[in-house]
Amino acid sequence: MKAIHQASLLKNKALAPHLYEMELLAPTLAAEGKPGQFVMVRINENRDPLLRRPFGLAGLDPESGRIRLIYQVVGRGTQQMSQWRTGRTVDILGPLGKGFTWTGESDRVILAGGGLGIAPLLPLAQSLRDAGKDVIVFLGSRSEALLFGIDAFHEMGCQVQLATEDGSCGFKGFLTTPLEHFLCAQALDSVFLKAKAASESGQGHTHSHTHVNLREGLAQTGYHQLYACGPAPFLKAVSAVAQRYALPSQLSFEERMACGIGACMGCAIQIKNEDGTIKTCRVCSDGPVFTGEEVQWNG
Amino acid sequence: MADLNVNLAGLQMANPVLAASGCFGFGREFNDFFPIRQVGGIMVKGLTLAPCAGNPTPRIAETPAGMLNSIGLQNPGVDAFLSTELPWLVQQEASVVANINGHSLEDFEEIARRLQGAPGLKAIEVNISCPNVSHGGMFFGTDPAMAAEVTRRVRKHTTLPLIIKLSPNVTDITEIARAVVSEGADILSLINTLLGMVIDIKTRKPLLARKVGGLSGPAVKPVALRMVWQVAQAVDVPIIGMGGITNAQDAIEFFMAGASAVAVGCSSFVEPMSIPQIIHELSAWLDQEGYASVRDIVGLALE
Repeated sequence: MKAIHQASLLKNKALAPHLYEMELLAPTLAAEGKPGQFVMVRINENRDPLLRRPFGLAGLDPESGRIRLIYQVVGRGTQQMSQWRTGRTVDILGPLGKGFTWTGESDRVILAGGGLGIAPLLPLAQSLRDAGKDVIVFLGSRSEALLFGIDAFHEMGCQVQLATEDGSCGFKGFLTTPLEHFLCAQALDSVFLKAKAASESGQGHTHSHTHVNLREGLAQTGYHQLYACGPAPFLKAVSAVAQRYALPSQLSFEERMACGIGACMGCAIQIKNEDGTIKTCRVCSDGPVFTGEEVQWNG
Repeated sequence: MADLNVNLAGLQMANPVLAASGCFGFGREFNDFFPIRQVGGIMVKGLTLAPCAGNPTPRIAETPAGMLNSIGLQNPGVDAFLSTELPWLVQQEASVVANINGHSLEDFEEIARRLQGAPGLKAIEVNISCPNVSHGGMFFGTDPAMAAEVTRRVRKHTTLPLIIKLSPNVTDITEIARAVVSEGADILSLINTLLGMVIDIKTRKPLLARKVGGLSGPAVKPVALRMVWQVAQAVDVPIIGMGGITNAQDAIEFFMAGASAVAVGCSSFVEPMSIPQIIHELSAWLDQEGYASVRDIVGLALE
């Protein structure tokens, strides 16, 4: 149930220049929050800056009652946040929006995070690992200093692949390239294994195969779901790769919002109905997670 | 305890604090935080004849002590309001004001016609001041003759208390106020947002997709207050004052400037409990100052 919480600030430390991690004691939020949901943080009492700031939940620990937020100093609000000292009471509205979902079906999942979009993938990866799934995580950012969470993903038992635009860490370029390589390799491997098995059992006519169906190939690998979070162009690119392999995706969007609860209509997104018509949804309350198949991409 | 009841030209409300149109949706989102029947009156999200998808994003930009919005009247249309939203609001015992918008004079007339007799609807607020649409919108509210004509046309089709929402984007707001009152406006609400813009120096382009948007929040309060004060002296109808109200002190200033009721807008975005908090603080202040009724402070700053 969304509500206003008075949380106690336990930790507020720089991970890199302009990149901060905040830990708060907020037992109800920690217990009720789900991966992919977000909170709206009030900056101050005097309404300047006026609006709350939205942050995806980057950590949820119901046992200790703690939540974690990761933020980048980009303006007046986050600048003020970066000066907050431990012990301070922070006014937080949440948990908001609908989070990521998963079922027991898919035993192997792929995560892709761009920039600050890595943050919501941390509690997601933990939940998916707790559910017994194999998790591979693709992380991308402009440069190495802006990457975070790598150790945490490793500790959870996830495979991690990195990409930076400047090549300071991992693949040089966008993470869609290693993502596509991975999917292609998995799919090809599956196709050849199947062909080999068919050949060995004397069935099938492997030599007549001139067309390799990568979509079918990937479907047989156990990878049935991709989760991504990041800026819209990043999500669009990741979603395009996923769709080439008929891989269903859940995308968590970032958008400017005033209220975070569905009242202001500021954070609009175009979503396809099943009959192909388009509706305008709210990122905050109808999302922030939408499937790659239902999003109507503009521009 | 001070009496908070007000009656504005037949619009009877249990307290004088309304939710401003566009800042409270159709009430559903706030009912999760408090029973929305506590709001004096809910001016629902602006309605158009047909459903409206609104403007492209970004639609929101923060400004010093304020925000710009360029929503573009995204709404499900008057028929969906009547079939879905209004019955739900009435079920919550909410006091409902329909905010109507037209691309043409005929649109305004047709919406008013459809709303006539709607069970539970308390009043109609005519928005002749939306800065975020290309056709109609603020165009109707910046010319006295046009504002008067819209009022006359809607007046023909409604027996409900008729509120005209005025634009601050004019040289002399009293001129528009007089024009709409002469054609049968029962109540005036002011102000709508002030046209403004933000430029993103990284992209060298306006930040909002539609380039300009409506400014609201504490930044506009002095302007809104001045306009309420001017209009209160120019016409004899009750005024619903709004613009940057975030607490009881702000609301009290509007009453003293001549408003008989106030509306809270974007404060509800920041603090969902804003309206009940303001009602509570207002009541406490009236008691503390020894006023028997909120009506006793209306216009105190006019003398």
